[in-house]
Amino acid sequence: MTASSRTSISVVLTGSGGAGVMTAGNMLLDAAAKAGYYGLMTRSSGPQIRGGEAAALLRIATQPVDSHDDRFDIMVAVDWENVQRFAEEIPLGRDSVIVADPASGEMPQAIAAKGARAAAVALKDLAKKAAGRPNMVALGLVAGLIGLSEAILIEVIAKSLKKGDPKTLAASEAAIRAGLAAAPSVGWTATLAQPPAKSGTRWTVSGNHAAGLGAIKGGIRFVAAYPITPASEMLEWMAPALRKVGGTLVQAEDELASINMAIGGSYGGVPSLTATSGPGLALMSEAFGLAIASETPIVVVNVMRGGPSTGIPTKSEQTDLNMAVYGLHGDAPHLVVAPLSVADCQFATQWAVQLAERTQTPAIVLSDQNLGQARAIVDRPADVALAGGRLVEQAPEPGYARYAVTPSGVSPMTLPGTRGGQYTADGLEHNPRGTPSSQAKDHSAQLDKRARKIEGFDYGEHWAQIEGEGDIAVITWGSTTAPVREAVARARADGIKARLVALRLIAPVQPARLAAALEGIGRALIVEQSHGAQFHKFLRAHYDLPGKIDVLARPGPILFKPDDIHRHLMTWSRA
Amino acid sequence: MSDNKKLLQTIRTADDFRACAYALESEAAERYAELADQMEVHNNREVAALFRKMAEIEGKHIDLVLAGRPRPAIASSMAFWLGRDGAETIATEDLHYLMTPHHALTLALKGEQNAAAMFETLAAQAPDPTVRRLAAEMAAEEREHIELIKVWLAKFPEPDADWHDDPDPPVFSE
Amino acid sequence: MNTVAPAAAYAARDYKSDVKPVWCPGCGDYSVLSAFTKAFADLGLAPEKIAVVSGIGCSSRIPAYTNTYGFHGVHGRALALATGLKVARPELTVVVAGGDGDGFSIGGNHFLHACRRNVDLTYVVMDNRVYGMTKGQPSPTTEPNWDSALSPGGTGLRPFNPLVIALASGANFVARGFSGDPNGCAQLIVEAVRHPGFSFVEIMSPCVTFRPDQRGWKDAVHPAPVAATGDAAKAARRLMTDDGFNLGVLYKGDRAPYQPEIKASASIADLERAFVS
Repeated sequence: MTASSRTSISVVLTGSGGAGVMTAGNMLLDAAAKAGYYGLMTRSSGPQIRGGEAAALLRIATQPVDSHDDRFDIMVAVDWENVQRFAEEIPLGRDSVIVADPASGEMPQAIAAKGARAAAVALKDLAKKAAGRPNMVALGLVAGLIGLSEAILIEVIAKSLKKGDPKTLAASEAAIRAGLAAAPSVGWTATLAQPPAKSGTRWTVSGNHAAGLGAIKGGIRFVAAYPITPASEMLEWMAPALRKVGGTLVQAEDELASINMAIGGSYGGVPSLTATSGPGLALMSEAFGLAIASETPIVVVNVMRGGPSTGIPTKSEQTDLNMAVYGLHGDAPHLVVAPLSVADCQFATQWAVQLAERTQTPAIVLSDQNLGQARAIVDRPADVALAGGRLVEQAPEPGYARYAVTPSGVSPMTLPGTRGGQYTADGLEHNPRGTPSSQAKDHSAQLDKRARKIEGFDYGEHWAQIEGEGDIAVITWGSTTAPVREAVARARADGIKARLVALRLIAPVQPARLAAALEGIGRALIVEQSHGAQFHKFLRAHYDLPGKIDVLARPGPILFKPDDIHRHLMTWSRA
Repeated sequence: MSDNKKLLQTIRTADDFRACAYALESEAAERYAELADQMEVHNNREVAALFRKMAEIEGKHIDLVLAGRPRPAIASSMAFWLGRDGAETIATEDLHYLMTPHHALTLALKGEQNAAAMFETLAAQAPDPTVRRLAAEMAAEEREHIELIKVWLAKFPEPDADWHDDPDPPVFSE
Repeated sequence: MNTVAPAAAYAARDYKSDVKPVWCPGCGDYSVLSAFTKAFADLGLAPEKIAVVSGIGCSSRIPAYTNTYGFHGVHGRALALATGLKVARPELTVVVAGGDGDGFSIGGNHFLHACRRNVDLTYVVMDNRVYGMTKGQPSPTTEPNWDSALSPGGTGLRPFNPLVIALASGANFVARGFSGDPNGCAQLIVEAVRHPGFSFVEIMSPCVTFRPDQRGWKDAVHPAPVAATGDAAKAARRLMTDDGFNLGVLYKGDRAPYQPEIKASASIADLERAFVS
């Protein structure tokens, strides 16, 4: 096979029972980052708490990448235990290679059926000789196959085992070297092309952590937390981080308590947040309505997972859209913002905090497991100066009315401790002073104001990402944006011009802006990760769409690959 | 009055007495004003007006006690006079949204009789002569008030047994 | 003995709003409102520095009747609302109010954890052993043989014992009052607010409309025969054999209140550094 240089190589490591493939995968990603590459890593695992089967799925590239490629080039299996669980998530082709330890036994049919070339490396044996672990041998092996240097690996290992004893460090280094030495025997010749010269700072960050940072940058200083997969990491990152910047996190007894605590903190004047997933958001819906009715801003980050009900907690889907937009009793307009990539989790969350504070309306940030738990190497996101905060009345005059009807719909809010500004926030409908009222004129006035304050707000260009020209549009949102973007780029290279429209602001809807974005568009393909095509139906309900529409809607757990969308686009555009 | 001994122990000086009497009367005035509000909210105009009148009378008692002096603060040690068995406490369980003037006046009468008894005890047994004098004045005032109530009561005999019948069931609002 | 105190900064009426309560005449909650305002005056707190937080029910209407800050939240979640407010704004005095249904049924879970968490709050429950606002259903503290439309013949269930549960869950102050003695209740509330940590005050507050039988409470209540104890085991024995009508402070613990320190020691730039590849 002739040597070749690739701009993107995808690697998957599998193993079980404490093999440590996640650790090795993370180190590989860190090494790629040090070497100046972009990339991302996602994880898959069995249901066991420990000792279960695990897969680390990586893509390393010379350009920023936000989604996995169509297939994996290299698979290294430390063992074969229960690997069929991952079979459908590990597409391999004829040009891929599977490296396995002969001591692991015969390759399972589910993997063999993929038709990739098999190679043997005695990982366990090499590890034993180095007094190290097979996952470190695998790490060295992969680095050798794709062209990452020993020096960088050693640097990464030293950093992560900093607190360990020198013997472990020495053993790990020896194991890595053994793996590197074994690479040529695999007969793989495609290595990573040189990355472009590094300019600016790069981060290696997960969507959940980026969201946490975005929240703090937006001003959040109080968080109430109840753990749920896949949102817990965001809360766990925020616990020490908040404390450092002068905030607090309280662990609540359930989601009902979390959201009510956040409302309490916000009523006190401190921007407040909680994070959860679908089942938790469902529990929070009553209190979310209380935040709307009492005009108390909070942010609820919902990291979507497979639904309905308990669903598939460790996998991604885009099926909480309906609940986020509609899941409240009454006419309850509110904000829904959805990040478009791992890095965008920071911006979207920061933006949501500031929108919530400025409009005194609660916001849901619809992230998903794919973004939340993926670690990506990204350019440090630019600091976006988002101006303005909560409209606070510091010197209320006699007759102060908390819910005074104003042109913008936003009423100056007194904070507890301010003399003369006392009021009782209420879920009951109320008059401008806040006294409960069942009168028609009060209900109309308050409904108008609560709708007006967010419908009349100028969201600027952040409401969507719109790229490219053509007479076809591909409309999407959330984590499907990344494979759609790659697909559209490939289609362009094939002569099909398409415009990408990825919505970041889900609610309130922006019909005029979408109409402008679809100017000149004759037909649109809608791509989403939802069996019931929630996004398509949402668009149809609230927007004018071009005459010819096609919908590519699939449920989780298998994510869209660029090729899925590219092929569909090519076929449909010619039809 | 549940404990005369305690009463005589805590009210030694004229200032003590004025503070106590002021506490009693202002408590009563506020209580009657609140009862008037409650009756108004529940559309019982007749009894509301009656409680308003009582509040006014208590207001006059306050003026008498103060006699131009500044209002004394009411220390929490005085609270026992205003407690469960406090002189002018209205037994709230005897209130009813359909109560008639007869009921209202009966309640008020009980309160005033308690107050009068308390003042009479002090008038007779307080060691300090000024206290005895002041207490005697208040006792006389209360006795006048009691006579007034009895006159009104005569105009409102006990109503029929079905006075609290309401054909409509309770309404719940949340 | 001089019983005349120096002029106070606030009088009880300074804490009353101009909204007239809609409780039935004869409702014990009027006395509790009076107790709140007297307690606030005794404590000498500025009205704007107090927040009264409630859930849903007749008792939960109380914030609107006070001149303090307040939040009338959803059913059963007042303690969570109040916890968030107090942790974010520790300098405020936060009082939580509600009834036995709101507090011990739907609110039961938050009650347990609020006692455990021991944030410096005072929780006043107006217990009338019935769901008043929704027309008279049994509540967790209702007697097992009380007849109602929803549970004819009575629920047959053992009533919830909030004082024992509060003690066992870690409440730092447990007391019982009776609305027939508003001044006594005011004193309990003053003590509860002053006592650090989570203070629980149950006030027996008869429902004149749905529980006319509770008229007998005024003859059943009596001061507790012993002084408050700081020994939880002793308090537990007393409360497990309590007749339901012992009044006064029954337990005063010494747990340190939960209040995370709010102090910045790093910048956002410091947080970002951890992400650098």
